[in-house]
Amino acid sequence: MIELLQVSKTYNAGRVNEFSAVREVDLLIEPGRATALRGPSGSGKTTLLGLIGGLTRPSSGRVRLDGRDISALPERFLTELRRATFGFVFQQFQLIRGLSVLENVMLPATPSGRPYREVRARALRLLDDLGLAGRAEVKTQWLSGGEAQRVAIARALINDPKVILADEPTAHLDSDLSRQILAILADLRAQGRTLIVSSHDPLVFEAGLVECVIDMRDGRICSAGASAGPVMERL
Amino acid sequence: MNNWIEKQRALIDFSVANLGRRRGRNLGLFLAYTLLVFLLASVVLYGDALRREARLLLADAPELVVQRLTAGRHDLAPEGWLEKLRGLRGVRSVEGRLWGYYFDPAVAANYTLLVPSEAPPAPGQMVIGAALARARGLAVGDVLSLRSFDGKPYAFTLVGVLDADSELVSADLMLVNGVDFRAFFGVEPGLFTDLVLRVANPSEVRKLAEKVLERLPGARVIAREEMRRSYEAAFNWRQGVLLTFLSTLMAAFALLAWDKASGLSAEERREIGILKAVGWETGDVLRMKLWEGALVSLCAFLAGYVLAWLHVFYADAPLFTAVLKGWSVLYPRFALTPQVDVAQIATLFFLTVLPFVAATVVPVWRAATLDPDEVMRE
Repeated sequence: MIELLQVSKTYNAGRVNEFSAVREVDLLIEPGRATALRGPSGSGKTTLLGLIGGLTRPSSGRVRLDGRDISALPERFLTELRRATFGFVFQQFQLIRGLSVLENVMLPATPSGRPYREVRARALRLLDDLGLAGRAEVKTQWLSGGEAQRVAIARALINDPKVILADEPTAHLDSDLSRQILAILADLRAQGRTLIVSSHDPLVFEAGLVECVIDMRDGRICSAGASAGPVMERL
Repeated sequence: MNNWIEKQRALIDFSVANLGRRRGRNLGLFLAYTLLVFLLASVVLYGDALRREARLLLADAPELVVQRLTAGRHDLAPEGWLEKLRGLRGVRSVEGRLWGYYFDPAVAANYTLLVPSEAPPAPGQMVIGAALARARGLAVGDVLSLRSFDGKPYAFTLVGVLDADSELVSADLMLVNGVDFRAFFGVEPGLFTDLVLRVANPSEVRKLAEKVLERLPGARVIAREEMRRSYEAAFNWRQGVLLTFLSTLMAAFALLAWDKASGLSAEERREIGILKAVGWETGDVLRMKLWEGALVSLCAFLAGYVLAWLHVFYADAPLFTAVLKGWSVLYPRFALTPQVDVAQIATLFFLTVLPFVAATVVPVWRAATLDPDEVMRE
């Protein structure tokens, strides 16, 4: 269970370029479900994903994971929690150029101290599952957009997280590739993982993947789908 | 413990892969680094080896040398002084020495003519240093004619060339008979260039020197320890001069290293952001960069030090001969004894490796403390 209580995020506070990306958001996301944050560019979807996943701390308010306040955790504990609990799929793939597909996928497990063979075996299995079995040694700059996105998904899964956060996962893909990626996300959802996707791509909402849609504008939630009942009550 | 080892192994694996990504940049840095360590280590190794060589040679030198002074200048000592010194308690032996300098206009070099106390050459014969033999192109059996004090030619037959092991002090040496020496320089019988004392108990050298001065008020007494210090000072000074010149190179390298190691590109900052976003702590990023810096600097240090070792002990340090051995027409050729000095290696290590690693880590630390959500917002 992920809860956000009166969460706000302001960048460059006190400066002339001060900017509020998220304002007083209350949100409750139930485990094992697929939730989508929808809204135009600049509506605060990405920042909200970052707040949920512990990539950044709220300027005010609380973020709770399974009842535990994670917004005030020291960096070390927050990082450990982020590594074990969340898998991130970024908008621009964010793969490291010059490294192989396999090395990129293994990256999140590097600081975990897990045995190399075990991590490598899991990475190869994930690549196999995602149709990238023969691409393990290829440098990431030579991948197509669809391949790069699947590598990013494999990387997000290497630590077997309970929650997958995907920021605009179809933004740089054509329709066919988008459908492929959405099918993969649907599989993850079917495995019982919590899926939180930010998008304004109609394909995402038409695919039947998302169970709850949260509309955002100007950093606020302006409407929420059926499963967002508790949010609505607070609103 | 296993967990820690696995983690370090994974970080090293990643660091190696990361170094391979920027091959050109890291290779350039490695080469510049190796060159710096090579130059510094060459100077230090060579200077230390010379000092050690001088110490070994002086170990057999007499404890005290007594010279006569006239008007503050070195003068020939009368034979009578030998008797005066033999009576001193604690003196094991006293000898008069005959030696002097000769300028050879043919090669514009100064020679040292010496009458050895043991087994001097027969009259008319001469044994010379190896460097001198090279400079004059002489071999055993040749006749060397020099101009004596009164301008007349004086011929010596060469009967031997001194062993190269002692070349540091014998490069310009000519060993002759006492009769020839006196005739060549016009030194009257009963006079010596100076006197040498060997002492029974080395701890009494200072006391004995005082006693010598009491008996011979017009004399100058030079202790072996003072000669050793003079050599040390000379080599230290030369090494210091060279290191001063090299300091400009070090400064240039520091700038290069700082620029190469610390100048984080936008790409590198983005990558640090990705690592943090996927679950790396600031400490993990720093450890990875530390490994990277350590791998480059340790390899370069090792390569530079080994090259310097070969340069000094196997190639006779052609880059620094002129400065460290001294400016001379007759360069001694001698094999320095290789020796490992842990303190010397540690000093070089701390002077070169630590600043580089610090230059690598500081800017990374700055970048790694940023919020990872910057990656999300790109």
